Amino acid sequence: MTVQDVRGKEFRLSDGTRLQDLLDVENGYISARIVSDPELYELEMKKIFARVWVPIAHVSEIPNKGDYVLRYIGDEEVIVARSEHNTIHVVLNACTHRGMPVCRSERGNSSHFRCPYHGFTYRQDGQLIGVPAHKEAFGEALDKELYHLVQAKVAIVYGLIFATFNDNPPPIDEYLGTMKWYLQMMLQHTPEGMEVIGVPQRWVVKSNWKLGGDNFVGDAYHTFMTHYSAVQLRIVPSGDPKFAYYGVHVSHDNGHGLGLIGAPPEVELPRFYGVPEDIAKKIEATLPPGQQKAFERLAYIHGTIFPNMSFGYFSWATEDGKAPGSYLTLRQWVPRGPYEMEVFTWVLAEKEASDAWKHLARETFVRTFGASGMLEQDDAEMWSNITRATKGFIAREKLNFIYRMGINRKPEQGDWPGPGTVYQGDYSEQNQLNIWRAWARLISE
Amino acid sequence: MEHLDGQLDGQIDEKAPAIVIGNEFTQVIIRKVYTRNGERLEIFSPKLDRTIWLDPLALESLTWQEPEVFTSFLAKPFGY
Repeated sequence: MTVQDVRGKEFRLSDGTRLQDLLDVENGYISARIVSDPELYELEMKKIFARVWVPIAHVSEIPNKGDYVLRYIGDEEVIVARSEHNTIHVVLNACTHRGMPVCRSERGNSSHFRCPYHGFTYRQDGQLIGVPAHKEAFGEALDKELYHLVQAKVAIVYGLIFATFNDNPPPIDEYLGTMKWYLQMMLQHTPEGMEVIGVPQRWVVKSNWKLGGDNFVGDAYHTFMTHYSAVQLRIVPSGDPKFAYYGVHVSHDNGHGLGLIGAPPEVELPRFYGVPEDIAKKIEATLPPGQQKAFERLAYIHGTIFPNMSFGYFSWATEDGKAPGSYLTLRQWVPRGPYEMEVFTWVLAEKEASDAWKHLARETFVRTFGASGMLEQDDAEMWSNITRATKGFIAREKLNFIYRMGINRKPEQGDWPGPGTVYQGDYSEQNQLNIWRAWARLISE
Repeated sequence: MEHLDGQLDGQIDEKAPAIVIGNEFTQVIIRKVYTRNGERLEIFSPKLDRTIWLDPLALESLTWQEPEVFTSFLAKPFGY
């Protein structure tokens, strides 16, 4: 793994503080200021969200020509649309004339977008194609060909739609690096891949946006305390409070990371998360051997695609006497100022699966994660209170978070078949430090 | 040749039940209309108070149009 160190960077905030004095990634200390400073929030919008690839939607959300959804890159709204020519486009939702959002419905189907202010009309790729009373109003002074809603570059990886407003982004494969191997395992283990069930659930949490990604990328340890009631209720079938320890903790370049948890060797786990037999056969025929071996005996995956898209691939028992249900959830921590985020959560299942399996996935999801989910509410309680407790001057000046779990542990591949920097045992804060390294590198550039 | 005004106000024997097609941008009401000798599809825009009747040949010709044709129609977003 390339170590993206922040030492030697002399970036200073407006009060003269050096960025490097806020992060000691070598020794595992991060200043509370990093999750609460409005100046850093502005820098994040400019130096992170305007530059990196941001995953914002899944192709199954816009399956037909003309389908669109509204999403966010940083705190700015974009339209994700499938054109009449079946190509996917992402544009800033602001008219070239006065900046009015041209789409105000969260999702819909249309061959063109017409601005409600003056009627400027755009094709789905953002090209201006219509201007009311063009001759009388503008005459020769406006050449429609020259104007376009601000356009993002788009990349699709195993159905996940990434976009960036960076004119010269790194190739998406380079940006994702070894994380891509795991995305294939989760999103494309059958020929048709995963499908979003329903629409994303959304809610606002009074928390800094980074706390979600920090948790999902590597915090297997909080399950012990925060989610203890899930253990007591046997939603965690083994009933073992240390259930999230038994796995690997994997870091990738550019801040991406994940943890993959099975169970102690003596505990039996259903194959491929207990998918029905027909789906298991498709997995055998689709996934390369390495991913198949990794995916075969797992119960929980948690991770974050830097900067703000996390995922969970979970199996929970939510009803007595019934087999556990499994699902993949994507979750985006959309920034809304330094002290608030809007959470978008999706639930996905194999597209080819039966309605019964999809129903079980969704039912298991809404009982555990999503707005009504027990574990989701556990987390939101923590993150909102962290922001409440750390946005004051004293916390910002004097509080350093401890990120020393696993800091002396060396990478160890063991028999894990997947790429990345692998640590045995998922109780570690290496992935979190890896995010902070990527964050600091971009802020200081 | 004699020009007959008000073609769209011509005699309609019967109108089929209407269906509404809408999205956040506009809404149209469409229905089949029966004339003495045949039938057409009526598209009505309540917002613009405009109507067009399309016969089977005109409708069929729409099926081979490229998306750009409709883009060119929308160069005048309200018909002017």
